[in-house]
Amino acid sequence: MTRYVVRRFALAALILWVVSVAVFLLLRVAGGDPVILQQGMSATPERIAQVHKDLNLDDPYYVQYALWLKHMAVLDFGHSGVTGTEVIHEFKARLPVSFQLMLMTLGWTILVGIPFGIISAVRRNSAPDYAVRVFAVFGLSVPAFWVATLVLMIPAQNWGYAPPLNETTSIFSEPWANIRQLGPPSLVLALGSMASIMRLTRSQMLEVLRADYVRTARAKGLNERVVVVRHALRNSLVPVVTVLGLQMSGLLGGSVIIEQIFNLRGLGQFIFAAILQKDFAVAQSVVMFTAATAVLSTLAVDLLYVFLDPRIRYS
Amino acid sequence: MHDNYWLRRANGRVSRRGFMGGVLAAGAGAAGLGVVGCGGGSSGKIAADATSTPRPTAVATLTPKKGGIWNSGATGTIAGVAPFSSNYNGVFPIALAYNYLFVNSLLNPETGYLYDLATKHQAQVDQVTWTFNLRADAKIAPNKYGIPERPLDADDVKASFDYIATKANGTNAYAPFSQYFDKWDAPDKQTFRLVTKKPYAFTENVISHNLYCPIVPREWIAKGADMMKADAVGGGAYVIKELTEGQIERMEPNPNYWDTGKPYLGAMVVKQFSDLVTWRSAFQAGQTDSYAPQNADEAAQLVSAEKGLIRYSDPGLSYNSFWMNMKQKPWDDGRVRRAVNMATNRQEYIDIIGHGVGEPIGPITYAFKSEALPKDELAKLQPFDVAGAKALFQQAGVTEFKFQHPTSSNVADYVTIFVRQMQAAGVTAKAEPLDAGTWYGQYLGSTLTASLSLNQQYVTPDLAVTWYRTGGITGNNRFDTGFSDREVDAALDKAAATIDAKARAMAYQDVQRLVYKKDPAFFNFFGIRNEYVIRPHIMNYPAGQATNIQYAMNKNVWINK
Repeated sequence: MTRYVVRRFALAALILWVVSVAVFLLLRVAGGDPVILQQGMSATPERIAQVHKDLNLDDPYYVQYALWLKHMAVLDFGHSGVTGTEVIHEFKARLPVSFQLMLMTLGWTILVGIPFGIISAVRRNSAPDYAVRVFAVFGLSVPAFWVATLVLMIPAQNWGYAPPLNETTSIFSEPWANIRQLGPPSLVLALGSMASIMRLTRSQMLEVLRADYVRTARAKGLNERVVVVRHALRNSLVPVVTVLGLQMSGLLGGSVIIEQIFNLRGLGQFIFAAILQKDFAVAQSVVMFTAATAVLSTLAVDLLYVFLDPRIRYS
Repeated sequence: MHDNYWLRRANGRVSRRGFMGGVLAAGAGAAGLGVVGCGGGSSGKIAADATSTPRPTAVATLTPKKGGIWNSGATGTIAGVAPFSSNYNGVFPIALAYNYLFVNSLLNPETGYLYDLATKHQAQVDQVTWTFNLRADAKIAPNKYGIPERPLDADDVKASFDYIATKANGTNAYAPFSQYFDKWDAPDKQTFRLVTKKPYAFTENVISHNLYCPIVPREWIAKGADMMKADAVGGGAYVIKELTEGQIERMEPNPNYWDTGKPYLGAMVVKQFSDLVTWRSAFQAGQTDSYAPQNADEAAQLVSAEKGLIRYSDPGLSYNSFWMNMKQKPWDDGRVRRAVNMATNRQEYIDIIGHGVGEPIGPITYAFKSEALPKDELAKLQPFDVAGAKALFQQAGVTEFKFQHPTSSNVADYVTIFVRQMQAAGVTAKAEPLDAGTWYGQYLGSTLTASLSLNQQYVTPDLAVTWYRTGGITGNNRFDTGFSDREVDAALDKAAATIDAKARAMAYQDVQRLVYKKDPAFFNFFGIRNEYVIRPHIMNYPAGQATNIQYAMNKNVWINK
């Protein structure tokens, strides 16, 4: 197990290195001069040259890359070229928002997706099963940004209501405002993942419920709830957890549009603006953080298998 | 610092009674929202005619109240508050935190001069020497940077002008300063003197331009560009209390402001929204007091949905254009440039993008009533003539061309219409989308082939027609189409030096007529109208198209509730 974990960490480091090279190069080969964009049309050639020098943008790529890695190693993310503020400060302010959004989305996905998937499987071809299946198809087919726009516009237009759209609220100081602010976007963001988890849970449960050992459990006279929850569900959860892990890793980076629409001051909004404005320091830092989260969450999911399925052993 | 709600709960500081009170308040709030949702039916106040903006009339009888917050909104980035070089949403706090010598606008001539740091000014008969008498009671606001709360004087004006005129500082006003302003000095603390190189009709407009000439205390200038970008220390009506990128600009009254008792507002807040839909929803939910609809239909819809909402509609200064690089084929051929303009049906742009509201424009937008060409003449100078365009394209042997554009959402309609109209004239216009950064860099370096050129906005007619001057809009070949004509340059010089307003308007019309004869490499689509909706409790709202006037009159706004 230890060897496996060490090997996986080494692999994670390799993946992150590849990502770092990719993000570094992609931002630069995309063309355009970030300094011109950030300094504006009134900037003189002298000023542009000075900023180029300050940001080491005239150095060869490998020198720029080495300098960036050196700074990243000590968690020095640099300064935003647009606002001039330290990236780490913005990062600290924005990470809790995105992280909470991710957790709440995951919460909705688990709390709604798994139970309804089970109900759908256990009561196959009944009205609740059809309702869940229709909802799942809806959730998978409609784009989240469209639903988000409707969720924002319809109550605002008809009832003059909108979640707080311009305040950074904290769950610790203003829990009610915070829930009002992050509840709707997390629900919208969870639509797709809830739908896929529902369908996956349903299909896995249907397969397991047909298994011999479930029939045996029923033959032994066990309560149906015990059969479903203790025997069937646990065995159905392995692929569900895999998908959840993958979804979690995508949520941090995938919340860009939702954060834009709900005006949440999170990492998604941060990177969106950074890419448009060619703010290298911000874009590189956020991409690396998102990649690290994805790699580590995948690793965590793999390790979780051991506890979910006793047959799995890593060596 | 926020206290911790959960600790408060744990400590039993939220009582059951308090909790029930909260529930009742939530219920009442919901009921209130319901009332808002059911209200409506009023068409609100709208512009009395096609060009003017109504001013609230009832407020004259009411006594302004002190305090209250005006929650406004904006989309886009703040990008710092560098007083001399900001171009983004930072311009708003700059205009309120610093003084100007005075403010005036060609678009609101009836407003006259709104004196601020200066109490009067005059030009000598030679029209090159200008003298400004300064007030003695304009004091620097309290600040945490050790800048003394002393009266602003002529040395601050000189320091600001010196900074603007220094090429390396990259200021917004560098071009007009270097082109027209010769020297300036401060003979005494209350007198500032400016000498222009030659008579320049727009001297006052440059000086009063909110992006050009804020007067910054010399000690604050000495702190350097980075400090000035991060915060503002001036003697304006407000001080910046909070400036958070992507979130908020909060301004509160400067206790040292010379106009005692003003501003009336307790705070002026500009909430930053990432998207217009978000701002609109926030407005409809009462989280902001004002909103800028994208077109007349949206404004009318909002006004009909909420009783009492006030709508303002003004000729806008903004427009979008088509830029051609004459150093590249096929744009070196005047027939092709003329053909593209002829193939352009501006009415279709107005119908689709402006929802039927807007005006076809020539080099000078219709908002400048005197300098813009009469509508009929404009239609002859830039006719919509598909057959003629087709013939010109055929003569030039052009069957297709490329053009670039940034990938922002507001461009999509322009691209679609442009491609279709060119197709109708027998050529295939191949759109090449570029991300904003790449596009801007190549546009600035004049390496694009041809491009949609967005958000043109100029506060004087001479700036708008600088596109046709040798060296281009910035005078140093940036964004340069390569268009260069000595006759046009001479006509532009003559117009800018014409002091008499009527003669100058004629001179600018003549410049435009001349430009059309030369097959220009830059033409405009149509002039928009600016729409604004505000809630009725915002009193003395300074409606109008001239932003510097709006900023200056902001100190008169008060909240009636």
